[in-house]
Amino acid sequence: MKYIKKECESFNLHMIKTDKFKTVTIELMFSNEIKKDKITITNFLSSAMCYTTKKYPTKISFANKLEDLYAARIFPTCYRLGNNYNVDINMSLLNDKYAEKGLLEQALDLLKEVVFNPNITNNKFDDDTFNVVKNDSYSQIERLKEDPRKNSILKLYENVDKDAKYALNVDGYMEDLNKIDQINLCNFYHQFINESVIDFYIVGDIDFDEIYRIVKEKFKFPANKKTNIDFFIESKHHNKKINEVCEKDHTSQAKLSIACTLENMTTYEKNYVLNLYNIILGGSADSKFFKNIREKYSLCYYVSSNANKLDNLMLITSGITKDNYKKIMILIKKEMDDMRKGNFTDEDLDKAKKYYQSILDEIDDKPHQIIASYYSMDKLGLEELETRKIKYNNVTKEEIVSLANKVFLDTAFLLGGDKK
Amino acid sequence: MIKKELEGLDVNIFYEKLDNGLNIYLVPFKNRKNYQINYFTKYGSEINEFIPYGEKQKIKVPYGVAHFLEHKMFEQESGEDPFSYFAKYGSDANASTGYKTTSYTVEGNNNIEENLDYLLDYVNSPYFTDENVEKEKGIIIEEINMYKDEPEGKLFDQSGKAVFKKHPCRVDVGGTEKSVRSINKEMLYQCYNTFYQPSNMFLVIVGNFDTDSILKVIKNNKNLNEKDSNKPIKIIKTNEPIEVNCRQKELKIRNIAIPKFILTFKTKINNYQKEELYKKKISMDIMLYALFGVSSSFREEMLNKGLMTFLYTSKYLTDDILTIEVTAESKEPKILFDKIIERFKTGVITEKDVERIKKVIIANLVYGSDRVASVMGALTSSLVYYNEPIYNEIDIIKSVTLEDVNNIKNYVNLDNYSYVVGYPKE
Repeated sequence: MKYIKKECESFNLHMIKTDKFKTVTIELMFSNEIKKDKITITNFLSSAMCYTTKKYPTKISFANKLEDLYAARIFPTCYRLGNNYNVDINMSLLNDKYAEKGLLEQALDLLKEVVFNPNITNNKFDDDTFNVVKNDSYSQIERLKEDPRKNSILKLYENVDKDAKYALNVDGYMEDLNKIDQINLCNFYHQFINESVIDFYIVGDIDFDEIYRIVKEKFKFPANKKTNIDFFIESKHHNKKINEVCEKDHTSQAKLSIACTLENMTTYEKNYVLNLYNIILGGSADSKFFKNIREKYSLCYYVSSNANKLDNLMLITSGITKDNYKKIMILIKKEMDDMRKGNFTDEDLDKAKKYYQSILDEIDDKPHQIIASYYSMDKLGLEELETRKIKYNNVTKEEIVSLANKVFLDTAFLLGGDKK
Repeated sequence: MIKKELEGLDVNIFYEKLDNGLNIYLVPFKNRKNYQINYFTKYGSEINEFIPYGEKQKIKVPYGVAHFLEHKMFEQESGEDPFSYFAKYGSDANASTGYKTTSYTVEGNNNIEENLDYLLDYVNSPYFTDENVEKEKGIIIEEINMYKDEPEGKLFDQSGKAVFKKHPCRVDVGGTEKSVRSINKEMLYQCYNTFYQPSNMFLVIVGNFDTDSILKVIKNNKNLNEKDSNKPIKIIKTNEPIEVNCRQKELKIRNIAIPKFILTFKTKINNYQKEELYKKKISMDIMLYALFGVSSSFREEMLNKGLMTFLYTSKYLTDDILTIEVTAESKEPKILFDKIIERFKTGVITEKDVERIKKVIIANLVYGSDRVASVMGALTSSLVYYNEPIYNEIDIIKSVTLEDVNNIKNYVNLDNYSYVVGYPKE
């Protein structure tokens, strides 16, 4: 596998050559500082761009074009990374070898249409496209009601710090959706193209020179020297006493979400020690949470932890019978205390290393993960994959214990479970 | 070992059947680091009446036994937790139960021989006690409760009950809280001894490994090779009537945001041979794609009119009954329902549509053949439905004609439907 980064006028082109795959994968990434009032319109715009274009102005014509390109796929994903909100326009297609010569160039032509020629006439987005995407956005926002687990996590974050970036709902807000019209969406499109920090990733059996030439010629974004703002969110100082909030809801199972603050961790700790700590505590089917709270006490079907170094938070989630809340909280505290006291074995640490090693080893098997890995090196200061593997392996028990003492229970939110 | 190629996909399958009847399929990938192992039995929640191994009388077991058994297979006499074992090599183990199968899987990228040996050991040596069976009930009931709170899960559950009168798939794979509470150690052993004979099981491995050394591990595994097998299995089939149980059902669901429905057509189907059945399946996929797919005029029109936010189709085959489900979200479910029926009745499919869609299906096969997980999924599904892989898929797809597609379309009994809709509670 070979990686080359080329600076184009207004964006960076990252090319990764490998003959492992029968496909070519492209991610065109747009990154901006996350702002509450821009989330809904950003989601809306990315869907509208991948629904129709000026040249393929109806759903049928756009879908037929993709079918023509041997069932090529194109779709947006929007997600928050710390302080930033990213939109990826993803495209995947078959290698020329499995389809026909010139397929890649045709696919890049279509991607160009998606990005530069949206379905806009006289500064207004097309009626049908606008209405369909609006209905879809409405449904996406409303559907939060159907997902108690997600709801519980969102409410937890509001209780941790309602003004924090992580408390934002990336599905969008109804009041913002109602403000979007065909004209301001068009204005936002121009702003989005002009102001985003843009990165173009492509993975596959490609020719560097050819791709560089084609991409440079087809993708001419307005000159833009912007760089990302810091991805990392400043860590919160934990509540002296855990803030416990309970909200009634007529569901069979109560959804428990807990936030822990990660305080004063070094970059080294965040990049290496934290993941291992998390795997031992609640990040795998061999974790302390799983073995004790589920297997030993049969108190739940799932209980897991997930550390987010960008947010400086660790999230613990479980689905429980409401009456067991106190019992589970005691067990969670005990497991975290055991981590602080070093009550875990060298074997636990060794297994966590193997588990993470496995994840790192398999990055090369999946195009999207290859891209994510290079993106993290480029933007988040991650080291080369091989260096990472070595450093993970050298993490000591003392380092885990020392990190465990920088993790604090802050807020617990219990939603529902009131149906008898 | 017999080596055969999935034609046109650059994928080789190695096959061998052991004396005890176990079917082994190995699919090595040269350029991947990971592997997946799927050791599965053709036993899922669909089967709940049978004559147990070594007995004469048929028995009926409570709903959810297959799933309960899946949970308990991880219990070992030594007390060792299989998850802990696999974690030593950074591997992941899992298991799942469906209507037709129970699968035990391991994924990893090193020490495949040790992992496989271990997997074969614990799935082939059950250890159930009154105490460990009792303990599991809490976990399983929480699992059932988790699905209960999902509106789509509720809709799905009610739809199964509306379509089927007697068949066990009326009830969720996990069973009900009541049925789970009634399960005991003896039932688990009866089901285990009957359905976990190697002759009723498949071992599929896809990814990074060496076929010869893997086969050696399998042939040397004591627990697997010393097991009783090849005893005939007598399943009592449900005599499911062809008529749907309930034509229409309106539910008020507390946390549903926008109305959703499942429309199911229930049709009798002949017992087709493997390739013929596959061809019928492809013809049906083409029909559904042409009528309701992403590039259909129906979808464009319904979206433009604001009559739906999502719609997808699925199929289910059990014994001699085929169901086609259309699941959709709509603010006007009744109008969309009428439009779907009308589309089935009057929608015209052209020769051009069929050719275009065949190209899409073949391209999707190539995409799938590039991923360990999709190869595993597709192969497993072939084994479940056809008992062996289909090696000439592309040829069969190419052979489908407009006439085949129209025949299937005309075959679906449009009057024998069940429509289950969920509205938000006021």
